[in-house]
Amino acid sequence: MTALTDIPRATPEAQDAPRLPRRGAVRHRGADVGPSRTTRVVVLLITALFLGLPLFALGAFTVRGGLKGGVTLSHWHDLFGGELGASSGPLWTGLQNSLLLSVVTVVVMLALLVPTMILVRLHMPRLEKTLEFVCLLPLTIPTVALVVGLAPVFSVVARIFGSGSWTLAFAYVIVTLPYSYRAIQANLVAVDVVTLAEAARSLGASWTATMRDVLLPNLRRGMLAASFISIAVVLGEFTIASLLSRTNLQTALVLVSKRDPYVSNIVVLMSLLFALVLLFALGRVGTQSRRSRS
Amino acid sequence: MTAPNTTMTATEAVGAVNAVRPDAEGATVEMIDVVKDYGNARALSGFTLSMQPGELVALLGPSGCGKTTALRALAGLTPITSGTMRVDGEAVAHLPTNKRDVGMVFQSYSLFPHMTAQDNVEYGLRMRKVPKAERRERAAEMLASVGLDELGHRYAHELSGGQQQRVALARALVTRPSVLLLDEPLSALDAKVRVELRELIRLIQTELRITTLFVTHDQEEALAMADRVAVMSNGVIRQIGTPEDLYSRPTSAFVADFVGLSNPVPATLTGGTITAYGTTFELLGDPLPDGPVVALVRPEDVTFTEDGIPATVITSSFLGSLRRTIVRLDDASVLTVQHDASDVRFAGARANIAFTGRPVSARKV
Repeated sequence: MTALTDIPRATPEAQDAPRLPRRGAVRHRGADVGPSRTTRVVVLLITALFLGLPLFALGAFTVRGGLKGGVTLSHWHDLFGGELGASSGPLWTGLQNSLLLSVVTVVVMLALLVPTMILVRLHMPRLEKTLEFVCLLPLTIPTVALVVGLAPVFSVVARIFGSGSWTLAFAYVIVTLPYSYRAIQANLVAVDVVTLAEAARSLGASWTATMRDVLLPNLRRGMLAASFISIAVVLGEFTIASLLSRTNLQTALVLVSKRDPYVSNIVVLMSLLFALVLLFALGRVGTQSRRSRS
Repeated sequence: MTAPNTTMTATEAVGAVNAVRPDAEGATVEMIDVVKDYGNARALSGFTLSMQPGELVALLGPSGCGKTTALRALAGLTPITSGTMRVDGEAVAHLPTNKRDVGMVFQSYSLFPHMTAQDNVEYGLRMRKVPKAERRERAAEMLASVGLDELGHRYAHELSGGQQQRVALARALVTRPSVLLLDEPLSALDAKVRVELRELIRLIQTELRITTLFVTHDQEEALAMADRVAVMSNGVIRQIGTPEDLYSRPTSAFVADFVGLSNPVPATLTGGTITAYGTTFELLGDPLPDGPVVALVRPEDVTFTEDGIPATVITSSFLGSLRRTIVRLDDASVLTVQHDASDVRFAGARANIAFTGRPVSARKV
């Protein structure tokens, strides 16, 4: 039997104290070298004006009463009134297609990228640079050039999967790859996945359990950020859909704007606001990620 | 937030540990002629180690000597090139990590950040399909045995480094593994917490009688904790023995140099006898050819005398019950003398030193 010495317990008051954030604590680190409060407010105001004025103008245009002037909600009513006129019909088709494309793109991107990146990180770290190069490559290729290469590929895709608009997702995965890669990579670097995986394995977890219980939950923020960015890119994509003769939100907008500029501008306004919400969500995810790390 | 009690008695802890594993018995571990190559570099070259049930063996050595590779090989995290590894007589080299029944505590904090401390400790039991009620109870008992019974609801980022390593220890032990593997678990902690935690590890390990392999580069840690210490260099064990053996009877200059402090003293070797400054010493360890050598004399084997070798005090450090004083001999050699704390020496003062003449290790010049 061991001598009856006292076992030291955790001593939170000591140097070894838990790092609980203090409520109401304000960080002043770097405040002395940053810009003054006035400068920050001025810069923020200018930026807000720069970004907000066009949105405001767009909003004002959508409620304008044509050449007679005045304010009217009739254009909004035309779009949401229940009866979809001939002018806004393609728009809804485009919106449906784009939403479906977003979902398929996100699913395919996550299914391809996450296991590959984890595998490379855990077992083939030498390939990380190569993977990064491959994933960032689409940034360097103009979309028009990409479509030229994709056109013959899509004739094969059409034979296998049909010519549904959702098949554009295969191309969109390539377009969104650089952004998705960066988002997931940032999360991979922040979390020590190698040690976490080894800890799980040493506790008896299979590879499936390790992925399900340990790695994926800790990569959730990266995957969410990658998904948001992908959705934003897909909703704003025009070139590939247009050149491959598919209908998505952007091609439909162009079509509709030729018939009814009000409806198309309403949709542009809504998609911009939607993108704004996505960006805020992204920023929030990033902030939470930084907080949890600190 | 309620702060936990600062201490728990050993009786409480031992009770908690026994409740977790009433009839614990450690496993034997054998690693025979294990080789691990990384391309052209050989990390382990014929590594052989045998551990008795319930024994704590520390692998000690400089960076890159292969100690972590040996531990990871036993865990199954690093596949070996050749060799045999047996746990309780059963070959394990072909088994994946999750089938080896090992518990491991890592150098870096390895708690799952999205789980509470309690859930972390339960995870290994969950993988073994232990019913929920039982695993909650066992995890709570294990957390209590590491003194964290009140912090089970906290997440990793709400725990200090020392607390995280305690949870990691509880997590590794709750499954009652055959072997516990500790990969420098204390190296990221500050000195006070490090000493606390190493005492806790040793206490729980002794009570559970779990065979433990402990990797460290800190010789004080190894000597304080281990039943036996294995000193490694270049992928092999150079000497294995009790801490006292290694310190008092090193079989090579490398071990004498690496374990504890040594004064390199220019000397002459003749027929197994070393002569330095008129004092003769018996040579410890491997024989060397006659001629000039460097004798490795422990600081406690150098003493202050009334009429010895003249020297000048350079500095003197207070270490509690003793002092270490560095002196320069008139021939410019520098020696460290370990002596009683009450014998205060000031920088610049003249002194005389002598050697006790206890056997020493030596290396070729």
